[in-house]
Amino acid sequence: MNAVNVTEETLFRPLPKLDSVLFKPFLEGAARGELLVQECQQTRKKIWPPRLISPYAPDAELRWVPIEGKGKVYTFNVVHRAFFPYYKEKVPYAIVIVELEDGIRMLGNTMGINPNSISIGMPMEVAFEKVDEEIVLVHWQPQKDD
Amino acid sequence: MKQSLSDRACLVGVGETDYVRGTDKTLAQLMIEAAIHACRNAGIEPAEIDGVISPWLTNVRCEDFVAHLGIKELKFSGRHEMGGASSIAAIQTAALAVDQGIAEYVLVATGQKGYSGVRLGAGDPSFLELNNQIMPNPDYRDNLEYPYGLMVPMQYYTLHANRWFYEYNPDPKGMQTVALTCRKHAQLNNKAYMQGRPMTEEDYQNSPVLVAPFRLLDCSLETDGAGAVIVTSARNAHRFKKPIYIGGIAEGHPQGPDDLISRQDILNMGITQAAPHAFDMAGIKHDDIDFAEIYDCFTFIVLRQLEEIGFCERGQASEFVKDGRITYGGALPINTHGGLLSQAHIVGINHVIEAIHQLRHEAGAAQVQGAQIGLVTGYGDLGDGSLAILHN
Repeated sequence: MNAVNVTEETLFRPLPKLDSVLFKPFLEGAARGELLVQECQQTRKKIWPPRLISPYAPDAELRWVPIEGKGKVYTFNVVHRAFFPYYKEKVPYAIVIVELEDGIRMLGNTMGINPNSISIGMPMEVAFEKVDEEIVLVHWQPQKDD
Repeated sequence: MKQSLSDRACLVGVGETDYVRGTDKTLAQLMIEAAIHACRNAGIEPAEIDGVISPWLTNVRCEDFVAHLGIKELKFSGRHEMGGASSIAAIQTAALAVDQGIAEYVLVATGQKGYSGVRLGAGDPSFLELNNQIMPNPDYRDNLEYPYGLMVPMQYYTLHANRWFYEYNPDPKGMQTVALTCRKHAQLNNKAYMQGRPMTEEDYQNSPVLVAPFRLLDCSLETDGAGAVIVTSARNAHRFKKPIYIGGIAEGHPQGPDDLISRQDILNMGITQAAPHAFDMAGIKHDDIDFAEIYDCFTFIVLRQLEEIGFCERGQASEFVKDGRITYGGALPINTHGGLLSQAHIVGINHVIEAIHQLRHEAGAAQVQGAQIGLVTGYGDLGDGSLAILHN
């Protein structure tokens, strides 16, 4: 183990909980590079964040289905103060909420853009950050021109 | 005719500890101290308390008051999970209990060791554990928010703020006006932590941006202290010199109370829903309000509440607070004690206490002349809201 890793380990960084029953399918999807949300099998409505039962039809089956990782910034902020030591070298960083198809909103940090250049309405696409073999975080980067 | 809780209950005692930064006392000690003050202020024996609501998360439970206050028979107890909206929600519950004769004197006590206890932003992972006890649905916090560096309240509020600025393009100076007004009012309040520490426009502008667009001086204080009030039935009002009546009261929860991010309209808050109920119950109009104590964990959320309560249209609060309207002599003085921004952050019970001081005409140098009707709000978690319309 090199010195850099030792330092990183000593700094507390919260990561998703792989033992979360509710989020397990989403986290496993992200690890495969897929963006999954729940779908109510009776109304075909997408549900995000995940729920224990469908709020539209309590007896309906819930299935995890992929959605396209493209949307627009609904709102965001730029964090200048590191509230935990881990973020001291990360500030300023942005937290963006991106609105995808069917009004689904997902939150993440940004990649490939200066946080101070972000604006509401900006087209974004998903960008995965591989933390380790199991944990992949969902971030957002400006959409590339096709 | 619909049955109404209007004027069925009143507030008859208030108690506060000193508001400090740094204390050796436990939270239980602070809250019991405030409770005893409230009983003495009301002129009742502590043992006469027969109902207790210890709103909000603290490790101080209703049972703790039984032994220390010498309560012989606790007939009613409760707890609320609405963060800073809990104090007023608790008063609503207390009003129901006393009106129905379940209890005669319900104590609502709360406190916070915001300085000597767990401090936000001190880099202590135990904050997240505490937060998961306070906030609804920790699964969302753990998996959708903390891993992306979204952890402390101002990070949520700024997501709301930036959308507000985008949709309505309000003057950012509205936040500064709230900060300066609260600090000015604190100068007249002997309990205010910031008494003797005035703030200038330059101080505000020079304070660092923590999470854009919030500066340090847009944030409420980290302080230690506790406050308590006593609620009794209007049937008992004649026993007290200056009972303050609960004309209207309501709590509200935004659609998606456990998830700010996916809330269809992020500008929708609990108070959006609660305000019309409280005004209907009280049977008054906005113009009838003489002063308002608005929950001010951040300057921004004062502006938003003024809009959602209906004092002005969405996007107009920065205009509304201009030209002295919200200070003494203006049409709607707010946070006459300095608020959470400049008196102390005691989970908003200090707003209720100040409203009672005003309506008893015991607010000293900060007295709003001839005050008859006051409005108090609470705000908590991811947008829960509560408000009370009180009168003398």
